[in-house]
Amino acid sequence: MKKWKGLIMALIWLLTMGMAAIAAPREKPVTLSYWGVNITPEREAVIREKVIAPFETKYPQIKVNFLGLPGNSKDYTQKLDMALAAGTPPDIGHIITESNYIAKGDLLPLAGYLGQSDLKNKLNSDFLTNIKNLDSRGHQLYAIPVATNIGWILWVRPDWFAETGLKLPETWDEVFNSAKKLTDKSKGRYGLSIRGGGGSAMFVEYLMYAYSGITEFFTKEGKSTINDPKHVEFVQKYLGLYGVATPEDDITKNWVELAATYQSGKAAMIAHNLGSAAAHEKAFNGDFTKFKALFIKSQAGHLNLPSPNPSGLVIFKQSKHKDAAWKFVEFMAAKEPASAWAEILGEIPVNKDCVNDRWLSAKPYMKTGVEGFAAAATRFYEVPYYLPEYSTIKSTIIESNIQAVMLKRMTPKAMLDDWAKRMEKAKADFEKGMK
Amino acid sequence: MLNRKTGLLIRRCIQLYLPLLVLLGFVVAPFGWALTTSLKTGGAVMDGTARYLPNPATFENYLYVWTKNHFMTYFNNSLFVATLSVGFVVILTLFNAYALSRYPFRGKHLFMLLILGTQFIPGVMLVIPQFIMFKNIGVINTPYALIIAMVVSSIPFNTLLMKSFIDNVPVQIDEAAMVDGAGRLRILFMLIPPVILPCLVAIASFAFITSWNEFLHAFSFITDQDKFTIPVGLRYMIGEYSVDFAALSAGGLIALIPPLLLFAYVQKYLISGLGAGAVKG
Repeated sequence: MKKWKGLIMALIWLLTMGMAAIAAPREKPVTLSYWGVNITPEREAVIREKVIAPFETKYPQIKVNFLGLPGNSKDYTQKLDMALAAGTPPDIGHIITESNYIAKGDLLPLAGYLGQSDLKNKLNSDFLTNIKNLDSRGHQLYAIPVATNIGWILWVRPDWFAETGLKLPETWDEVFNSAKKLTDKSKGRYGLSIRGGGGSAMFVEYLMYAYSGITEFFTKEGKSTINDPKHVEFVQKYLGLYGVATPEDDITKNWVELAATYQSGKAAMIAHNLGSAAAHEKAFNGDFTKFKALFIKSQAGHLNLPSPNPSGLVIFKQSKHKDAAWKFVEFMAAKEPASAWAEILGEIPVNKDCVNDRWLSAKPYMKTGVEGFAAAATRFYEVPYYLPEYSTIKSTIIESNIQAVMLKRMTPKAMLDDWAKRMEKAKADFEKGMK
Repeated sequence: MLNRKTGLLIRRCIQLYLPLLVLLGFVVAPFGWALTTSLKTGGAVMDGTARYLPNPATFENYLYVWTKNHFMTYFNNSLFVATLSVGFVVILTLFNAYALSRYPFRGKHLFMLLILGTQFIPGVMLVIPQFIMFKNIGVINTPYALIIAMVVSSIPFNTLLMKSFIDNVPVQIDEAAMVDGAGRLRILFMLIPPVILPCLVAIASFAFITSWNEFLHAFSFITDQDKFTIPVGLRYMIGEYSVDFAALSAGGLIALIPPLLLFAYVQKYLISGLGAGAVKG
């Protein structure tokens, strides 16, 4: 009897184990590939330590193979295009105002995943709408935003202003007048440095709308507001300072040279964004008396910023681990990882839970940026990121026209009229293609 | 009154040494500036005053680049790729050039024209087709993709260059060796190379430099950060909104060491043998 009892117990045990093995869904280990854009050693450290490590702890069956790509977004896009052509894109990537991946059907729509996630009530709906606008046909959501750039901010040398007894500018006319007064060519000091090289058109556009306060890029009739008389007035005043209150080599300056001009004590003011804050802080050894970020309100009385550029994490349709990829995207957009990522980028996290994070108000420049961005009175003009030719027109044609204006070979009105005409045509062609 | 010797010396100084010193200044100045920048602290790099001797000087940029930026990994990868590339380029070029020089065959001139024609195609146009081919044969994301791309792009021009050197080696040398019982392979590897040594050294050196500095293929064909090479590693120093000039200078100088050592060693081979005769009597 004892012998039979033991045998029966063993059989029951084996049966139980077998049923448990069949019943419990075995999770196969998954390795995701994630390609990061504009990566530096500092950004890589944040991704690995504050995003990937805690993610892998939370989901031990999922490993993330991170490839941080250096360079700029053009290098990233080139590598991504090659991988897509060969059928080997990563599971997760980034897009930054790129609508062609949506048009080519390379991306997975994410609205379904977001609808079932806790994240859905935590992401600012304006950012989601911005991204949906990239899909001009279906208005589907193809990316999850994590952090957003403010657009522009004015970096100034408060010590120079104090030396000359000037107060920090609060209006655009004060900016232009201060630039002239702070210029002393005999000492190699200039009141302003203008980005006349690569990327110039983007900042001229941002600052024009910041000056005028106009919030529409196109009127209801489809006319572009780029060549509004207030914008002509701004360009006359701003680019008119070239050679008068700016160094002559501004004509070819891209961001690197512009930053060097400011950080090496040659210029009192430059226009850029909060992304360069860390570089300035390092260059000035954290001395906030030597660098400060300011917003200047428009002539209409409100701060006018460009609508946040639609960028975020995407999952490629060719991914074999879509659910696991979504888990990573959802994790990275959650409070702590999103906050850590936004902090290293010098951007503002999109997750509403991050709004009270201490680092957002710890540094004076972040405080200025966040307060300006989030203020109720701040307006955003609608940048037509959805137009496929929006960036190409600026980089291939307008930037050289801006140089012509700086060299007095073209009038500001002619430059802006040409720019407006090209944008109107791009919009008309786009709408025709949509019908 | 100056004697003749002193006069000659003064003339030599003015006509030769002084211009060479000026040229040396132009050549060495950028390296000197990079060295100075690499020894500066972050804030001191953007200081408006030009300092030729940094104060305080620091080696933290070298440590940062070597450790935090994984430069040791990239350095080893570059060394592996460059060394193998040079080996394959030299051997395969020797085969090609000897065959073109010594063997008459139908279509030889057309073949040489086609080789020359491949040089007119910009490398960047071939990147995507190469990526697809390498992916299909399973070498994508390996250093072998870089080696194959490098070898294939270098052989055509180097073949034509080496052919002209081998053409100047009298065929009687080959015949004399054959009479003594040497086969073609023995002639190819033991007889010809010592005679065309300057050419071999030049091809090897430039193949090394080209492979060492190659960015596009390394960036395009590699998808694991641990397999990147030095040029891609240096690109990490150039951020979206900032350039770490001190670290970039440190990394650039570290990257400079192998090519510098290589040229210091091979320059005597490049210069010697220019007028040497190959056939005596």
